[in-house]
Amino acid sequence: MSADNIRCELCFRFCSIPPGGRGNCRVRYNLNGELVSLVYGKPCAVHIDPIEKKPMFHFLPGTRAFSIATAGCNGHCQFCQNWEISQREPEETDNIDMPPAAVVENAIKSGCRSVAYTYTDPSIFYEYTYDSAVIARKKGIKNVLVTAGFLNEKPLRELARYADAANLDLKGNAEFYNKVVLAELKPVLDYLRIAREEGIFIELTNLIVPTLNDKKEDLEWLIKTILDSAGPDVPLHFSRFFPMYKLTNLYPTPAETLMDAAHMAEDMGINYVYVGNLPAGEFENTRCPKCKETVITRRGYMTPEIKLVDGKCPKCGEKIPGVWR
Amino acid sequence: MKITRKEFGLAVLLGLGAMFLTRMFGKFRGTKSSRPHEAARHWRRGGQLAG
Repeated sequence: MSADNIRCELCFRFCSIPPGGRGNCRVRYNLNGELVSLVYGKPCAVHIDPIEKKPMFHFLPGTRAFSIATAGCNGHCQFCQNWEISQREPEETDNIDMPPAAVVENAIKSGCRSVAYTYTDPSIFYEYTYDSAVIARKKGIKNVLVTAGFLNEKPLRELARYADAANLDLKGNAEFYNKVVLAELKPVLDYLRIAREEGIFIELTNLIVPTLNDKKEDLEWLIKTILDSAGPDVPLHFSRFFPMYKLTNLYPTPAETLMDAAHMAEDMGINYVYVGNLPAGEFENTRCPKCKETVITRRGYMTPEIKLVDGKCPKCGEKIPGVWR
Repeated sequence: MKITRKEFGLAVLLGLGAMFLTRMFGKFRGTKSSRPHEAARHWRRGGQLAG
């Protein structure tokens, strides 16, 4: 490494950035020997979303999340569903000025119970996420990370002090990460372990991409890995792929594949399994694993009925894991 | 049964009116759908971002 280069220690890539250069994420810049973020306080996406869209089904159901993202990403999924902002430099997106205090102020004004750092990976706008999360915590607003899990241990443990929940993408096995995500699996499993140690409430998402991670053995590996590393009570969302970015040659995930995966996960012992990006009937609802009572009914992003009493099944009293208030 | 152009036009108008009223006064008025914050619009045109 040249003496003038800076090594960014935020994610597993440990980019060595020359003066005037940027990291793999396109947003971290070597400015005269100082590592700076080009997107601090400059989101390109600001939305008020139902929390169910993240998807978070066991976290303040029926509430809104003030959702922000900046340009760039340290993942390069060939199927990225948000590639118009994630695979761009900040100069190429339509950004606005919204410093951390304004994020929280706008969240409160909009009636949101949480701020979601989402759409692209929040690890690449870490400082913006961190500062916003600190202010949000002070004001009683919760923080949700929607992430691919590419954040190193030290920054994750620091951020975890202010993060309430995360939806972590577990995209596939090591080969899938190498070939399709152009990243590595290990940092994601490390993220899952550390986040759980730090008490962040976790839900997992797996986007099923036809022909690439939809085989029976792929799904069996995924479910077994989840059971081994997070146990049966972590909510798991199987999400439908639509042809995007570099995989427009593929077809959308068939409904049958998603439903089969959900049944397999249930049969193998995962207690809370959901199917997303598709009207999925029983797999949209939360059911008590003990007595099978439907405790939360959903229709798309709507929650017409929440029957939980103090986070417990109203019929048998079984505690349902989650953040309910 | 043959539908005249006038009847068809009326049906379309009624449908649009019903959608408008549901949006304005319905149970889920503006609360459960994803929408851009007034300060910003997301970059993608004609579609929601995932997540």
